[in-house]
Amino acid sequence: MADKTKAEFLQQLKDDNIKIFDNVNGARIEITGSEFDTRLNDKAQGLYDSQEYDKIVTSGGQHSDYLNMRGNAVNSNSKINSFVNFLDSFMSAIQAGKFGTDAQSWDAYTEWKAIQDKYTQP
Amino acid sequence: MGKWKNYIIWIEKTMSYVGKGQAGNPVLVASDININGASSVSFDNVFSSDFNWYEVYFYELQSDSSTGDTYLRMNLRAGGSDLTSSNYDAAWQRHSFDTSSSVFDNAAYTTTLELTPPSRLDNDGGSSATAIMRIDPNTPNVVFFYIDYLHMDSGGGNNDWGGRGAIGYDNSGTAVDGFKIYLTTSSTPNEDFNGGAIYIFGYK
Repeated sequence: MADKTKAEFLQQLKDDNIKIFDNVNGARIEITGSEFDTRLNDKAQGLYDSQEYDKIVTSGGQHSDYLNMRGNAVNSNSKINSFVNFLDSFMSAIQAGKFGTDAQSWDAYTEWKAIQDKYTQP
Repeated sequence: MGKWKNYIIWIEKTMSYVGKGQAGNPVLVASDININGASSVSFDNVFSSDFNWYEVYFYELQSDSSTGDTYLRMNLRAGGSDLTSSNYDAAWQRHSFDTSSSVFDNAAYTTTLELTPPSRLDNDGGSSATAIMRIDPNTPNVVFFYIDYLHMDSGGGNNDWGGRGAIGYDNSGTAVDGFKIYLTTSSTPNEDFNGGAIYIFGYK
């Protein structure tokens, strides 16, 4: 689907004859008049911003929300989404020799290796 | 049976029960179980000196937004208007269900609050916020309230959090009598709720 401009999103909302409601004390109130125009404009801006946001989440790029984007990406990555998983990835790299043979004599590595050898994957 | 009946009458007259009678019982002050399709949900004139404190139940608030950058936000209200001075402070602690991550969030001197961080709700089917908010609106100068919450599938999958928060609002000269929650990609309501319910109970 092709990207849309904010004006195109606004026109789409108008074409869809969208209505905006607020609930106040359990009663539904339809927003009308100039307040409706303002809120519809906000909706169009929100749709446009979301389109741009989602593009960056998918393909990468600059965004003020980069910390959350990074956090969500890390949370979804099983190699680094917890300290234990990260440690396992790091130590496995040492075991594979990616940091040279000296790293394999590091006492923290030998302790980790002993635990791996003690409790083995079936 | 006669002496037992008299004994029971004596107990009822001489003993008081916590949780029985009016004192201690929660009283349903207001509710809204039809928030689907609403851009914002407000309650006005629900907090007063009629009760010592209140509990607000937010049950599975959901969003119709298709994007992960839609925030659940809240403003306190007085006299039918939002309180939007830079008087909101908040401190949050949350822990992930999916990883060993613990995160601390805070906000100081803000004009609105992001509720239940990471606050993001979208329409992917599992995204929801459930919370219990306790508030004493009768405190002079500053209203404090406390929230325990569960935020599921926030802004994308594999992102579930349990947490709690403490929030303060400087209400000097303004009696807080309600609140508004809404969904937004910016700072004004521009997305709709897609389900959920809200109940407000008063306690004496």
